Amino acid sequence: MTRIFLIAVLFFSGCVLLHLLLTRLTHGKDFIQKSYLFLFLMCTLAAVVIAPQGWLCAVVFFLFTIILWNLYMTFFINLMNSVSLRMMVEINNSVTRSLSNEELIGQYSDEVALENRLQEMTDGGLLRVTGNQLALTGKGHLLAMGLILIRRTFGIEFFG
Amino acid sequence: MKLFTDMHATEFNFLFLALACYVSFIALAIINRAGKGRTPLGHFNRLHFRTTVVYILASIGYLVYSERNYTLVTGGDWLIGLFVYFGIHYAVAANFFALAQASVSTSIVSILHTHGGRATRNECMADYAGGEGFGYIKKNRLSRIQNLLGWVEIQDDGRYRLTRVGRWMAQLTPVMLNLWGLRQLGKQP
Repeated sequence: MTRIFLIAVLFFSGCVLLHLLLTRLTHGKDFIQKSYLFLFLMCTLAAVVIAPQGWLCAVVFFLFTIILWNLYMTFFINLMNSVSLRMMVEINNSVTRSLSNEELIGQYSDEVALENRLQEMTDGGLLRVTGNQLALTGKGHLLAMGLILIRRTFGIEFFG
Repeated sequence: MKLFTDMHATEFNFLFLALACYVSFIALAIINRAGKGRTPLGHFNRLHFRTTVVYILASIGYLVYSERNYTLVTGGDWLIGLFVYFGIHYAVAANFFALAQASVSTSIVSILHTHGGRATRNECMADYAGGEGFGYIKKNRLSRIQNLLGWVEIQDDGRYRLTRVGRWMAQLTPVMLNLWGLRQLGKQP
């Protein structure tokens, strides 16, 4: 198993290097979708070599690869979308390297935070914005139902 | 080309053990209603960490029962099993849980859904976090990075200041994003 793991780590490292080049070339547009499409293509190529080794080896190899890739994606999605990191960067970029609550709100207001999210969600096809009115699309409703299922399964009552 | 010669299914025993332990953890999280309370994600992750003991005990039981020789490979396989136990959690399950509980975007989707699919900006902001409002995000995230991670501290005059690790994280964020040609949400390229 150690050999499969090491080969998966090597394969993942190669994918990260190629992905870095591709992301720079495409300026990070549709980052998440393109990243998973890229992984799918790389795994398809790898399957040519891995599949003849036996189905169990192949399943384990792709399990390791998917875990590593998801950890890598989680890291970057957090860097891009985390409100905590955004506030920390604002504090770090301030002249005195410290901010009061009011200054923090001034630097990154709730309205700006909401607009950023709405823009991202509109681009993702989850909702439509018409003036002050927000409306869920079919994809948005589907996501909402998936979320309700997860919340009911684990008993999540509070979210936000 | 034969990459994995002489492999036997028993070589994957620690992996199967880790997967079985993870399924047990999920069952425990569902039975235990891990999402209850004000910090569901923290509760979910703590429960996962604590149930690592199941994997450790099951591994010891397996080693004793199978009378296997303890070699460096056995240790490596055990560590890989542990990696899978944590990897599946933080790469897959915890992300879905966080999406359902702590994500700003999916919370907005849920608010809109409860309003029948349509709402105004103000309704969304007011209904956020069970009616606490959109300002809850900053308050909650700052207290989390202050208390849980220790990346932010509050000075005597009430101003937020980053700790050494917090400064390092705040500097690393734009460096990593620039290297990949990415940017933070809402920031101009």
